[in-house]
Amino acid sequence: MKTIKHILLFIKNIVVQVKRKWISLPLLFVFPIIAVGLVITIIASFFYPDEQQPIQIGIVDLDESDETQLVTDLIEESSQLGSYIQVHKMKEKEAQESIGNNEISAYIIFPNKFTKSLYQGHPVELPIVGNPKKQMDSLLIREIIESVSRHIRASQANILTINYFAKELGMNDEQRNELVFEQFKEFVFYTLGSNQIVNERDITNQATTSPFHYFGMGFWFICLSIWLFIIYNYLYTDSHLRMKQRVRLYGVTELQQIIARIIVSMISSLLFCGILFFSIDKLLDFELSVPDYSKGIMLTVLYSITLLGILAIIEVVIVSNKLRLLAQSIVLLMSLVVSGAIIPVIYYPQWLQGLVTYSFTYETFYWLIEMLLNNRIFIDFLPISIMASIAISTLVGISLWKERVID
Amino acid sequence: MLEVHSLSKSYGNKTIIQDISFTVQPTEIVGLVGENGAGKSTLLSILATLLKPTKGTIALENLNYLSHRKLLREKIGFVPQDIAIWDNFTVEENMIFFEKLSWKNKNNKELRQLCLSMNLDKWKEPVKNLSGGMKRKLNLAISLIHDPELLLLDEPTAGIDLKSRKEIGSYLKSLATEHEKMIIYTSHDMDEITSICDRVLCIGQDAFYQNLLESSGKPLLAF
Amino acid sequence: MIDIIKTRFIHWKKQRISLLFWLLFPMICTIFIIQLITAIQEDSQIPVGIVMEEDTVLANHLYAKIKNTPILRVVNVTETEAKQKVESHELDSAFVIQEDYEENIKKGKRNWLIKSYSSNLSFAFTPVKEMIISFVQEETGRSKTAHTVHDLSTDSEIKFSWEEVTKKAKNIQVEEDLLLTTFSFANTPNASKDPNITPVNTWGIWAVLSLLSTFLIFDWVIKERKSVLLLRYPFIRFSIKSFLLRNLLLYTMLLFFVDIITVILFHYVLNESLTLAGIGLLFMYRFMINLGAFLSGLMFHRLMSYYGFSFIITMFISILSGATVPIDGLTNRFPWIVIYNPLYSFLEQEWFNPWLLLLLLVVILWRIKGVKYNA
Repeated sequence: MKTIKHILLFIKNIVVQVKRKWISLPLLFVFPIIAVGLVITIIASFFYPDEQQPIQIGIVDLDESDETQLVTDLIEESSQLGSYIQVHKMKEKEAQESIGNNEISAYIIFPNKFTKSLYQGHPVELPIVGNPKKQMDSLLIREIIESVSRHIRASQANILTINYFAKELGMNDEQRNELVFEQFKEFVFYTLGSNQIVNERDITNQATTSPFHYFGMGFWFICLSIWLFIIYNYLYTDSHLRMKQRVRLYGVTELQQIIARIIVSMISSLLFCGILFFSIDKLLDFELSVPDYSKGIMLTVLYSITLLGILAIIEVVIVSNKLRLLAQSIVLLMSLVVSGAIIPVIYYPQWLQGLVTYSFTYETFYWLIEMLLNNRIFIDFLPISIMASIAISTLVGISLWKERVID
Repeated sequence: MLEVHSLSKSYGNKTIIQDISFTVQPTEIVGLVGENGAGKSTLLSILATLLKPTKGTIALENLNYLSHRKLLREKIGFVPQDIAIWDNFTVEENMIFFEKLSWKNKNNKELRQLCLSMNLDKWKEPVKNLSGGMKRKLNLAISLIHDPELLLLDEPTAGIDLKSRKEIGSYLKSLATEHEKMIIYTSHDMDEITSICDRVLCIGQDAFYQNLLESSGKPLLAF
Repeated sequence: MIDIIKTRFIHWKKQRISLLFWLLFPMICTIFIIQLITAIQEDSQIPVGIVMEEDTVLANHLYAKIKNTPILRVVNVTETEAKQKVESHELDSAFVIQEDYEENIKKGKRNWLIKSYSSNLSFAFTPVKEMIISFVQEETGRSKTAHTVHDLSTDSEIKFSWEEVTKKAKNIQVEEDLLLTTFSFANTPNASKDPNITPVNTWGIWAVLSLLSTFLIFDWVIKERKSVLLLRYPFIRFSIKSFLLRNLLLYTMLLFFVDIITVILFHYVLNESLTLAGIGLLFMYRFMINLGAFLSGLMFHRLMSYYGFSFIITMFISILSGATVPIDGLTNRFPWIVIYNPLYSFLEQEWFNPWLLLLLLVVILWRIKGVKYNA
């Protein structure tokens, strides 16, 4: 009873303090939205390349044989590589300058005697030079070139095979050379038509599985976590040893003050999150029912308790302010990375995916997505409830133990 | 010699100090009394060059306060009311720290001697373990490293035990007489003022203090 | 200056563990993060569902090839499961090796041999599809070759079977694997077959971490301007400004010394290049963040607010600088972001650093004027 009275007293105290610093409140609200919005935009723009500004690639033909000219012309003109890649033929010097001016992402060199070497069966190198300022583009290009060179390799083997059997069949040299060039062209076009192999089916019948919904939720979830972290630390006051002693004389424990801060941080974060959720919902329309809302709130509350409990444990254990903030930031960052809100968990290595399921952030985000995007009705509250109670009881245990040791 | 001539200080309409003139000679200790808020600390700050007077002139050894601030500071020792030392350092480290920043070079032996002369003997002790009296002594010792001519003390004995008080008092006395320093200092302890000071300056023209002083037989400074 | 160094040493002696921690933190943490990300990246796999509609040599061969690709994790599913798992995003995408796969290849057909399922959350679909196509294309190409040889031999008495030709083509491809691609970045000396292009940038991560640790180390600017101690400064040899500036210089020397160690360590542990120009740029960066931390310290009186500010500024710069997440996509659209990026000069090896000039100017102005901070 006394404990509750103390906690209420401290909550009141915190509210008075916050009123004095009210100017910084809007900042607390806006800051995570800006920061997280930026990250999400960056990541989304990475996955969805801007069609207006395709990746620019240079092709340098040092060989200038019929074959390479044919290939480079074809590559330059064809739209095979999709609308987000544009290929330009250029001289080597031009290509180097263009990289310097950040105009192209990479260039490929067909070296001198490229065709001749291929026909004669000598090894050839196809150098790709990337723009260090556009590393991600270069990565993508390299993947594509790998596929292209696999095509060339196969075609080369096939042409050599035809050459071999033509010899076996007793064809003369001139005829054979002509045949080989014919076949070369044939295979180039054959390769270009290779996308007929796959019959593509898009699965987009469900309106709510768009990436916007997924990342919209991710954005909301990260904002919630950052708010909890910032507000909790914003309410932290570095009281003097003498003040601490005085307060202790009234029978107030550090734990009660921490719980008061946890409650205030949670309520204000939930408020912020509510506002944010309604704005996102207006934009994306999750089509939620009333029970969905109550389940969502339940999940959010349990999650907030767990996160704040962990932050508070760190605060109790680490005395140094700098180190405490660092430890809390690292824990927050790690749990967010692991939650799948930034990058979907299925792309992680399997050993990590196994570990991730034990994370409370993953647990929360998983069920939120299941509920909102996949229309799951049943939600397993048990794991997150257990995690929340472990966090809180650990906090209580450590805090009481520490208080006893100090006394 | 410190000469103060018709000194006034006001903030806006509020006058703190009005038209004070006095002189202090070497070997002299002048006490500064008055109720809280009468302007004692303000006057000390002005004499320490930390504040500029609104009116009046001050000169220390013929150096005018208006034009020689930098030079004057080398001749002034100021002991702030709050204890301005590094809490996490030992006494030795505090002394060395401020000696390095001071105008005068002193070796460790001299620094230690300075502390010993006011019975501060816990040389290697971290400051946070020291008693209030010891901290006050260190606070004073640091201000004396550069051998100032004029020593200004803002309640140097606040909140400490009688023994330390006496030790600080007698040290100040010997400092004035043996090293020919000028000392001005504020205190609320009348016994201390009457026993140490040669003269007393009463700020705020407070009848209570004036009567107290007259009954003690100490000469009041005229202004 | 010697005296300033001596006083600083008293401080450093007192906080040696904390100081050492924050000095080494960027270096050690960067190495740790790089190793962690590399480990995760090496093990990262794209989950792909494969549906086998027939059990023939060629179909199994294709399946084995896909399964042997290190970046893919193959999950065996039925077509219905495939659709459902792609929809719930348990699989990135799924591919069906359709009935009569082998027969169609042997006939020289190649259209729609494979069916794929993907959704708009299938981030890796395009590269995976291209890869599978190239596997299938190898088979169909060989088949095409066999048909071509068959056509050639219509007038001749010698006949070659489909198996004979495809086997020969396969042998030739294995024996004469002649085409290599090499990759290198412009302005870097050596190209390699398997270059280490990671989206993470060692110096970028270091830059962000050292930004944070520098800010936290610079809390001395606040601690040493505590109001009580301010009263001592008029009575020392140095004005408070020159005292603070000299210490700034001293800290710059200390931190730059640690930076040099970092460069050498990164060179040997993480294979980063070690050049004189690089060290020059590093010094400019070091000087810039020190000036930044110094000026920020002057703006604050409460340590906690300053620490909070340090973390927030680090977070923003780490996002906007592209040091932690690649921002190609963003800078391509909004090139002006580059101008506001204080890490740009260091990370992109540009000698012109507007932030350094700006901060230097502010410090000079503060030294000349700025009565506000002068007690």
